[in-house]
Amino acid sequence: MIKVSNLTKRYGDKLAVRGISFEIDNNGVVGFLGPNGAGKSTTMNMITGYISMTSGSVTVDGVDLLHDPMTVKKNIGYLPELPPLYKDLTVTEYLNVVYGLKKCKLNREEHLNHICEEVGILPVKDRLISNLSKGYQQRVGIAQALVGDPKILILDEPTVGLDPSQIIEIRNLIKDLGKTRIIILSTHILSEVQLMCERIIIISQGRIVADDSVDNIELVGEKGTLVAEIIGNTDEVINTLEKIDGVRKVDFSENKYTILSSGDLEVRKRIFYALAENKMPLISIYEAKQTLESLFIELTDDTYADTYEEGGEEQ
Amino acid sequence: MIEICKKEYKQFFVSPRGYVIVAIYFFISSLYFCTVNLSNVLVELSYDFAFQSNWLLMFLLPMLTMRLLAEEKKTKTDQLLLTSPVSVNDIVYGKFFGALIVYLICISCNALFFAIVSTHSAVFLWREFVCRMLGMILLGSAIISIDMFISALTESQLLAAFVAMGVNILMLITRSYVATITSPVLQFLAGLLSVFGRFYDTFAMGVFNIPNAVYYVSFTVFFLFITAQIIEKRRWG
Repeated sequence: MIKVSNLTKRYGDKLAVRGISFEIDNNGVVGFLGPNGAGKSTTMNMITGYISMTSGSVTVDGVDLLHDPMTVKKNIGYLPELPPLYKDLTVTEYLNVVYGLKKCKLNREEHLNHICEEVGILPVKDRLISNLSKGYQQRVGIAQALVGDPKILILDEPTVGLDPSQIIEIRNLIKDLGKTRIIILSTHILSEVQLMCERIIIISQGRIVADDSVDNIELVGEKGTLVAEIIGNTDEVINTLEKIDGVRKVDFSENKYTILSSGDLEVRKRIFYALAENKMPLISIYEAKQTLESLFIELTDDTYADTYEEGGEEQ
Repeated sequence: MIEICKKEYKQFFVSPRGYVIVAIYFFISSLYFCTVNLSNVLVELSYDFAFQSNWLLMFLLPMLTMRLLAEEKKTKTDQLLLTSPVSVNDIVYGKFFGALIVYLICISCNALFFAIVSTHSAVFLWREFVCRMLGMILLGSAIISIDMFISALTESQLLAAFVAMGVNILMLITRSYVATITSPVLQFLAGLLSVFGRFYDTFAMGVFNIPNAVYYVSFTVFFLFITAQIIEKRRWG
């Protein structure tokens, strides 16, 4: 439904975004990750038409953003990093202004009331936005993006400034909204991505370095790496372990042994018996799973971004 | 465009800003009317219009325009406008008309002055009055457009207001110098800058001058056009 191809943004000599391409067809929440300055906000600003691209294109339902910006903009709701609020208006006045700007055709009162209820701002709807707490202002920002019932929602760090219970509420809301539309969610909080997103796009230095489903991305850790805690003389333990059939390499660091093996159940059994025979108690053993954090750090490392691109060009 | 115009108008009157501007305009122009017309039993309103156009517009219109674009940029609310299905021209014209409506409320006090002098005089100079009012609207449009253009150049409201006042003063004093310039080319260029002078010399006297009316409309459209270009350029920057 939304297709971004070869999106590039150049500021003078600096390339902020270098040829980003992705396509989202199904409803759901897509996480958009990257370190500060990776080009997340720039990309989102280009998709929403706030700034223009140096090259590349954005199409929604086959309509190009540059050819028919009005149609595309009607289908996109956007919550920027800083919610664009007119603080001298009340919540109701503000949402009415947005309703007019979005050229919304739905029943005004019903639609706005529904949105206020959804994001939980009904109790404050007659108050001035400047008098609201940051959490409520953020919610008004989300409400603004929902006006006109857009098919695509782009949220730039929507849970910033909310308290823990509000964060849970907003996450549930985003999950619910994701059932009926496409949501592109940018965030720094990795656990949030794991909780809400079905797909993750990681960008670094203006390039996409990973684009896959959450499950796949979590499983890319090297298979068969076991981590064990064993009591005994380090050298003797390593000696014992290395003699076991199926163990390729053993490392010792931070009181834990990292065992590279085929990783199947048989190897684990053999490790257990071998250690028991030699009176070396095995305290724990588990398969190392790469966390999203470690993956994120690895992928957004400068050198990795370069190798990914070279690999990408070869394909 | 109408939505943005409505929004601007509303924003003037949810804060004291709109009320203060209208109140100052009413108060000072009424004071002038009392001193000049009522005390001297003068039916002629040309002095009032000359005074208002020269002094009130110069200082009050920057107050009206300084917020229009600078504030949106500073608070990033321009992100809402530019990602909504409205064109940059809609935004610029909407804001222009929003400010123009407040200005029209300001100059509406002249209708009251006209009613007062008309009831006390034998002559009913409605043609002159209509000319003067039309002239005021044209002059106001031109000044709002150039001051709004200045607001588009900065994020600071204060800077926008001061620069706009400076430009207004320049456009005011040009009239005094145009006649003294000997080079015809320079004289023509200075004449283009003499925005206030054109009103003072024709409309204020109750004369509808078509070339000057065309000048004002072109001036306004030109500055609204480059204001839109400034906003577009920032998006492409």
